[in-house]
Amino acid sequence: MPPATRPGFGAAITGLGLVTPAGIGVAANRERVWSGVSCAAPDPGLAGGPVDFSCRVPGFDPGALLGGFTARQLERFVQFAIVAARQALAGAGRDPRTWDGARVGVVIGNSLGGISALLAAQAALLDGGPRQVSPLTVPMYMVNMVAGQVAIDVGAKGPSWVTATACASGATAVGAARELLRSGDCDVVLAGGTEAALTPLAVAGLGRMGALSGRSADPARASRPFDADRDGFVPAEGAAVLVLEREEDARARTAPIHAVVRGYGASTDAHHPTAPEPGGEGIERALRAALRDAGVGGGDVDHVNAHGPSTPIGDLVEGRTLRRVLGDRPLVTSTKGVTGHPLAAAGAIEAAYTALALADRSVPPTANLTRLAPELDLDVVHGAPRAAALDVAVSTSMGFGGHNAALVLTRA
Amino acid sequence: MQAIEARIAEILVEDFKVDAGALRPDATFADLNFDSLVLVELILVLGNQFRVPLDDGALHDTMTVTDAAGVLAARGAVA
Repeated sequence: MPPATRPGFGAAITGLGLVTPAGIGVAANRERVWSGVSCAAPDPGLAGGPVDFSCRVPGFDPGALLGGFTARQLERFVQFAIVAARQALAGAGRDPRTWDGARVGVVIGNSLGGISALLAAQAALLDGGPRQVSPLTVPMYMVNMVAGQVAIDVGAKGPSWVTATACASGATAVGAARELLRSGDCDVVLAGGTEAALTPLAVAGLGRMGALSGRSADPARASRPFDADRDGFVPAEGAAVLVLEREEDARARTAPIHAVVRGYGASTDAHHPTAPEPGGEGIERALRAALRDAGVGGGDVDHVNAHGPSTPIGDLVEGRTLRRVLGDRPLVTSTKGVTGHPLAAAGAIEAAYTALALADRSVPPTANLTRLAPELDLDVVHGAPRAAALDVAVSTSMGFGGHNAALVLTRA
Repeated sequence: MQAIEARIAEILVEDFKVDAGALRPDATFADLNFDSLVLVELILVLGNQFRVPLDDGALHDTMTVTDAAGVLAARGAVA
């Protein structure tokens, strides 16, 4: 069978890099996410706006991590991705000085690009005219630059690009990266997602759509996926990068394997620019395609890291679809209760958490879930982590534009 | 001239985050890792800081801080 059609093709996750509201690095993320304590807090950068809280990456010092001169030329979404990529490679035991860079790819999801650089340039333009616009404006705000800059940083000379499927971007990137391994085009792919767009403009725009939680008085309880009293998502920032290699290659070099990406499915609602298709047919098609690609049935799935943004309609559409396709057996969680919604980074961050859950055989709790939405019939883990014999897990993502993506991961 | 040099060095360290230890007298902008875009940005910042007109080709990456101070002084800059 040609490699491109091998069902259940395994892309081993040999390295994980995480820069999220839950912390920097795998250990900090495991501790915070499994604690079930939300990261949402008042955000001084959003003060005075109708939504004045968010989930920020704590203690991120780009100058210390990347060097001040380099960091100054990179927008925050790129800084996050480079730091995550370096972490992931160190964990995977892959040294860019010794690899054949032409066999290494980079696929990173992003949505809103370097919006801060764009806004600064616009202010300079209005204030002083076109000659006051920084020559770094365009290279700092373009979304594709995160793939280009990560490639420069690690010497990855194979295919690279940015996936832009809104809040599904990170999952799309992981799925596309796996195809580069399955086709044989690459031996190693850095796959992930990144977002750093917590500006008053972006948050005002999301707020005007009615997408955000209005719980300014109690931010820590605002992100409450699948809860009856959810009222919208909490905007967040962050990045995750996964080092993917063919499973047989990873086993041959006795690499650490967190989990294996074994299936990917994608679909589009073709229904509305921002509202999910109410029957969930779109996310169902993506999920069934991913299960088929992995060669597993819905009844084999032990755990779901759901998209679960904490929006009234999004959680409902997804929750019903999960029940219809997978039954009531899987342990479901939404880690967005802890991290908020890091937009284009979400799918990659959640793929990483799914891998950790499989490796540790423990499902992190959904923060703030006190009363399950009455329309849903799911086993949503809450209160405390749940230990279970997890072998097969799913991570789902849904984005504005009607983009849906699902990943199937298996225990290493 | 020396005052202009000192002010340029200060801008390089504080705004451009150049490592102060790398600012040796003979270091060129190329040595300091300035590429063509960052050099144009430096020209923009120096023109604003010293309030003198500088075209985008006013500085080259083969120049040192002393050379740049000379260019600024010739345009009437005072520190």
